Amino acid sequence: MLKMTGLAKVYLTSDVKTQALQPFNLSIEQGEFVAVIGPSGSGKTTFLNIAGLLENHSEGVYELDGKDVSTLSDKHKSAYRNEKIGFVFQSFNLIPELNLYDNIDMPLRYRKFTAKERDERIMKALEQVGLAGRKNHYPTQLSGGQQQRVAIARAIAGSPSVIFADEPTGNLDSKMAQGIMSLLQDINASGTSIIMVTHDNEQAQQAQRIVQIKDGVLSEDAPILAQAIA
Amino acid sequence: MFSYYVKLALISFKRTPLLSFLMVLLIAMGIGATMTTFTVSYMMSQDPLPSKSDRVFSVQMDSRGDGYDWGESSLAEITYMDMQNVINSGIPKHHVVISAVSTMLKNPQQQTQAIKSKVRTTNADFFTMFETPFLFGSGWDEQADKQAQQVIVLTKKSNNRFFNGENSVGRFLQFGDVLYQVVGVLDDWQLMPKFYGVKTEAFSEPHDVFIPFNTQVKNELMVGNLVNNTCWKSYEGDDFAAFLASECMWVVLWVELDNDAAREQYQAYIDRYAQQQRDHGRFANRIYNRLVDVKQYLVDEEIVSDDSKMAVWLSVLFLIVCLLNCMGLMMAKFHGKAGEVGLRRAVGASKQHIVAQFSVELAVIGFIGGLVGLILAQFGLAIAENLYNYLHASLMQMNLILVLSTLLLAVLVSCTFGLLPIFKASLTQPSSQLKSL
Repeated sequence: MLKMTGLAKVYLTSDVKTQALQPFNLSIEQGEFVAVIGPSGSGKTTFLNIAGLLENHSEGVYELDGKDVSTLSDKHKSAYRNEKIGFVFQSFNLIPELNLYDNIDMPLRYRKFTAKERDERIMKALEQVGLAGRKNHYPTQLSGGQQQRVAIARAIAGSPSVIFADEPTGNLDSKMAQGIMSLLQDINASGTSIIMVTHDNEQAQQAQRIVQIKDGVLSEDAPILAQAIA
Repeated sequence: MFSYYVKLALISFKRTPLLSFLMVLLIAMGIGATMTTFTVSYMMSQDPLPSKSDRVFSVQMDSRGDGYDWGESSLAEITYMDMQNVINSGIPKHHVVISAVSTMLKNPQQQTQAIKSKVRTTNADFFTMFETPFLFGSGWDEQADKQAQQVIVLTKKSNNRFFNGENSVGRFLQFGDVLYQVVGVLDDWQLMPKFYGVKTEAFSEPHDVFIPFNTQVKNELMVGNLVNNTCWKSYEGDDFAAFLASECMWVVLWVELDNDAAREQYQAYIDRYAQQQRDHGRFANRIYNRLVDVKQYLVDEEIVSDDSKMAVWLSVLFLIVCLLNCMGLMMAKFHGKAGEVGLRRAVGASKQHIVAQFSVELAVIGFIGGLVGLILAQFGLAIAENLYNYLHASLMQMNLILVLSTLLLAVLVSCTFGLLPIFKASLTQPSSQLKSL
């Protein structure tokens, strides 16, 4: 589903060259739950942005569903993000002026679904995250855990093949965090791949695979997990 | 998607009410000022005779002597003599002779005090050629012209003044020591611009009453300052007959020519006439005869003044200044939405989606600005009507085309000046802005 070969990221300014990610190879199959760990500033978010087509890589080849993404136009990348990818962010990234229904509706609007189909998908996603009765509430009326559930509902409403979660429990207490992890596990169980950046050792252990990034160097299935997180 | 974008635009208003209010206000001020001046200028330059303006011509002849060429600004009038000589050609469908006098009028049965009034002197064809509507009666006939009868046609306003709005046909108005019988009362009627007389009165109401031109001549009513009277040569004698026989140019002549053939025929006719006059020692300056249609006449006579055009340009500059300020606010507004743009891009919006969303938002702002601008323009026109009360009120009224144009202009300029902010917003890197939501 996702294959990165010799992939690297370099940030260039007029006089500084920063190697954010050293060349690496990585392959993730459909339905996998992969945790990405590493210290702050190691390149985890850069990795996630490249994988989620939010940023371009500098070197190597990235194939998503067999398609070399470097050949995609901006418009096609947008369509890929819309149809194949779901995002969950640490700070939820809900639009405060829109109610839950409209927040979840946002990605569906760009997909030319009929109003009926959008409604069905939104209600199904809200039911999946346990917030069907609060569709007319606004994000500020919800707890952090509930807001993250809405963000997950938004991510899954379009039936993506992969969800990229960037520290989805980073702003939540442990109880809420566990609820979110359970939800992600359920989504993964239904066949959706999940690639999750996290600092949390316990949460990383719940993934099927762990990928470690340190100083821009990506290594798969980190052998000493506790040290890597530390 | 359009309705979705409109919904987002309205939500965005709530999100940044002050910024949105200021943008609307700036657009409204610019649009209001522009449309106030443009309305006056536009109404001034309307075709006053849309059904026949290309068939109605001012007859212009240069009858001046050699060495008296002081330009062409006063050629709209011809001499009484020339008018009499060309008027019986039989070529035009209608011919209209125009002059004016100022006098005191009263209803002898109801009023003791006479009222100073403007009198248009003309002939029967005036009412036919300019298609004047009548409230009561009609215009006089050719017989009345020939016999120089003392008949009179009133405007509706004069009829209200002298006869309290009653049907006054058959009744009399006292004109000095002479009585004139009312034959007709005009309904509301206003050529805009009122091109047929002097240009300084092009935007004022019609004269109070109309009498036959020949009656003016018969009763020796001297023209005052209501017509241009240009004499390049002093006349011999001091009586009215000497004035009529003089080279003074004080009669305006309009003709209606049905087609190009008639026009050419009439042009040839007045050219022949001028040549004959030249052979007799007149028209020494040059043979220069023109048939000027209504639209060209408005241009030649500069009926729409340069001041009016300048005012429009100044208000357009003001609009641009307002829009440049608005552009700064747009930048700020869209910069503040970078997080939302990043998120929308992340969940699948293309650059085109972002451009469309913000274009609709600006169009909505422009539309609301246009609506408020319309109100400001009405306010501005009301002030202008008050300040320039000698101008006809219809100059200060927007028609449907102007109202729609105002809204369209507001939307267009808002979107045009929003191109740069929108373009910048669409370039937002989603990854760099996601954390700013």
